[in-house]
Amino acid sequence: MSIPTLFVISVVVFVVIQLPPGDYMTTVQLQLQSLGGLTEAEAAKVAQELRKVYGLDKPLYVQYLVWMKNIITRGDFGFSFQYRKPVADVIWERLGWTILIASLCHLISTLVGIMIGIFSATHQYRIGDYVATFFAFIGLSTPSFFLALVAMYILASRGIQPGGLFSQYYLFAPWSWGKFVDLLKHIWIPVVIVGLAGTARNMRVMRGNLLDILNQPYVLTARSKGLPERTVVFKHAVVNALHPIIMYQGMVLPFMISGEIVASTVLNIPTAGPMFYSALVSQDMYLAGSFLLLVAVFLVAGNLLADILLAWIDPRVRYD
Amino acid sequence: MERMSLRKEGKEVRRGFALFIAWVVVIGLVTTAISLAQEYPTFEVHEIIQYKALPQYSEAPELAEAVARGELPPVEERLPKKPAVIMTSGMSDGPGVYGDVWRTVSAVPTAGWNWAAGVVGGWFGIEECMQEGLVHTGMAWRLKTGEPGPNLATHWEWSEDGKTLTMYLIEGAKWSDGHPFTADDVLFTYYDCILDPHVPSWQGAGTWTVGGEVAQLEKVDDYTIRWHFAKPFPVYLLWYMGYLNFSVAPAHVLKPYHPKYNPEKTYEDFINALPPHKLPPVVLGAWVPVYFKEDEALIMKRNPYYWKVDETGKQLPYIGEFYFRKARAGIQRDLDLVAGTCDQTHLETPGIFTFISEQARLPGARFKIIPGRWTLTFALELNLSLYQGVKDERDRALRELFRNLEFRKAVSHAIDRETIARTLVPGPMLRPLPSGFPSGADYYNAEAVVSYPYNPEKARELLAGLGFRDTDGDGILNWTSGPLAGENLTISVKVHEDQTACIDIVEMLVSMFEAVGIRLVPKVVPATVGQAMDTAGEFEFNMARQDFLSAPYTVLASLAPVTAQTPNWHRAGPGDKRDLLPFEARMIEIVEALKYEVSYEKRKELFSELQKLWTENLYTIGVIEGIYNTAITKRFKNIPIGVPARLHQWFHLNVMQEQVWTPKEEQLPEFLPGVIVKYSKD
Repeated sequence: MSIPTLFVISVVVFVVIQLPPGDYMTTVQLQLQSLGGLTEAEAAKVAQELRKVYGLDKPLYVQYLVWMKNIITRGDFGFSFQYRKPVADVIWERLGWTILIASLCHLISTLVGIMIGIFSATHQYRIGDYVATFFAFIGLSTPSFFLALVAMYILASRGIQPGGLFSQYYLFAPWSWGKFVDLLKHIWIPVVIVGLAGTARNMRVMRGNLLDILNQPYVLTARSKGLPERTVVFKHAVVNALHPIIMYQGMVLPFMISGEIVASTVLNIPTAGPMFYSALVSQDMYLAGSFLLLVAVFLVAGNLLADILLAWIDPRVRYD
Repeated sequence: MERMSLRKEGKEVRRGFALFIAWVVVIGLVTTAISLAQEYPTFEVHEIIQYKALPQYSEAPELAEAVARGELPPVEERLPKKPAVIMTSGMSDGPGVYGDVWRTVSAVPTAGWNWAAGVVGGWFGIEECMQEGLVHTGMAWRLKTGEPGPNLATHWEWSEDGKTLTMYLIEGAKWSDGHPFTADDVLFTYYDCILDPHVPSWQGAGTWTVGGEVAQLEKVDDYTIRWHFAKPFPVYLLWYMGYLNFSVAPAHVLKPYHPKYNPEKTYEDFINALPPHKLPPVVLGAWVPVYFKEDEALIMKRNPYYWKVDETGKQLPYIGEFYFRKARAGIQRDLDLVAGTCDQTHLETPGIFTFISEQARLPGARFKIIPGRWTLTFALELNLSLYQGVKDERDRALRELFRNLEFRKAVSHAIDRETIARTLVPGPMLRPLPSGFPSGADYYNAEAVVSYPYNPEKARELLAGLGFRDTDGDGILNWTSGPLAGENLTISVKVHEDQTACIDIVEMLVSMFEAVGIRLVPKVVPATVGQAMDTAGEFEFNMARQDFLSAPYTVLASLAPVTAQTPNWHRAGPGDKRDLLPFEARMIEIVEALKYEVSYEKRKELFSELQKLWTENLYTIGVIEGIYNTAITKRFKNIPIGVPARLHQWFHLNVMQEQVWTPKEEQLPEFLPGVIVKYSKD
């Protein structure tokens, strides 16, 4: 099921990035006309020659097939016109950071969200529940770019370089324990900012589900059997309340990636986010397309993982 | 009860009074600061720079080591016979010591190193580190003459009839790869880059047209050049012979890529001949890029062949390394400065003024603020061109509308400048700018300003008079005639993403325009894309920081349609087609007269008339002006008193970066210690 989905996604991605009128060569042509003082015909000729070089003169489906063939057979994602480098050279390191930050956000927001959700549900309408709910609504409603901006001002006034993943002097150092610690000192900022909304969401979902389940007859049965409250909550209730959160896991990674794009753009972190944005602005289509495609791959993979996880945790799913 | 409220009132009165006093003190401090800033010492040229041989020379330790290893020739052989000597008399702290790193931020993408073809290195001081002009326009603010100082041209003389200008070049200066600099480089820059219509240089032939003929440049010998003009004494051209407009290009590097010398190459090849990862580029400037990573960092190292020394014979620059953090928003530089990870910033983002001044006053603050002048200028440029970038009926209809003075008046009346100024910074750092020159500009005359202040009622009336009605009741006016009849009056406004303040202003303009029935759509683009849109004429409104207006005499060609590319908001279309607006004809005459005018008083008269025409006709629509301050680390020495962030040039040239130094005990470690500039043999 995953493979055909990916195929459809790749076609959609390719069509979408071709949708805006013109291509990168149109931009080049305009530049040649305006900056280079060439006549329209001369500039069009140069642009046409460049299209031939990059295969942009071929019909759309041929371009698609060539692109796909190169990705599958050689891992070649095409050429980034803007960076004047192969897309793979531009995208991998940045994508690595994006995935790392997004996964960390995901992990932390899930763990923390579930914990607070359990606490909130088991302490319903008590002060702890109100505090947690209050912060959850703040977390849900504060845009991450705003948090990122506030973080920048606070860090600057504390004498910490705002944004980035490393202190200045570690940027060029080879990997070491010190550099790793330095990374930790910086990476928590985007992780907290992007993860906050997710944490709040997970907390609300967990709280609601758990409250529902705590009112189920089998919980009453467990309690009346005289099981300790801890066993009732964790063994019988929580496991069943987790299902919606796990089902949502597959969807959440792209959500984290889009949050990461926003936060990284504000925090000036060299991840794939800011790169994707500028690729879209300048119609650097292979770069934009490859990024979308890779995000789609993660989405599909995430869904697959979520399905497997759900089957593992909930026996009913296996027999469906 | 009553007594309580009385007491409360009394408290409020006292509080109000205290606030008032504080306000007066702040205004007093700022005005004193400004007046202090304008009292700075000025010099004769020879007090700042001389060209002479010194008995002995010395160099930075890492270069001495490279010489010892046999990687570089000795310093005497690398320097010209008579190097440029930066005189102690022109230094505020005297000769310095080697070392330290100058850390800053660049928020514009680095596109490459072929500056002669208009390729952007990333601004924010990057170009000033690498490029050198024939004359030094950044020195002018400190000179008694107020004219450009010498640089690669050591001196020059006009013929008696004023039709030839002979310039003498420094002898024996070398490019950073050791290749000699000669008149051939200057001729290549002029004929094959500036004048070649296929090379997108910063100034085209229009700027160099004197009395209807393009100025001719003759090579007398390797170190003498002679300009020939059709009309006597085009004194304005000296201002175009400095940094950027006449940053000399390395002919020996670029000729093999130029279609004129290599028929196999195209102009596309030439423009992109020096991409950013091709390191190090060959330069004449004090620093050479050696490391570049997109969106992360650019590092430059001292140029081992730099041709300037101090009076003790020490080869400049003192500071060995430049570190540019690559970012996307200009505000990053301000934040990094506060954090202590950046060493200098021009305060061009009003939104952060208060924060920075608070931080500067804290005990232990690592930076100080150098008060500037009223030259920070924010204005709307309305695209008036009927032929450049006009692709469809919509473009044409909009341009026709923009060319209508009644519409420009409506736009001006729609802008609540006071609110914008107060919202960005509470306090006296910003004020409304009606149009045209900022009040700190050279030749500014307050009496020649006509203003169309905030009056939304009037704006609505004017728009109604132009035939706009809200026919569909959505609150936005609709066109009632012409090809766009029935459509909403929607206008896009281009803003460059690195210019945080412009983005803030545009956000406020959106609601102000909506209030009079115009929908404004911000279009935020990277500066490199924006520059391409400018030259292609593909913008409707442009929210610009018009810094160039701070010294109008140095940018004469940009003030009226005297060249095909200027002004930015009224470029000529294909085949130089342009329909002048009635007042523009007189503007052209004024600019023409100014080109040859040497008397300050007469220049001032002409500029006043130009200013009147500009403001009366809303050639551009001013929004706000501000004090252009600089913030800089306290560890740097030799920062000239009162150095402006922007006047004839940017801070980087005004300060003469190569003579700035840091005492040994305050120096920071370099990012790439021990690395020197090296070129592979092929």
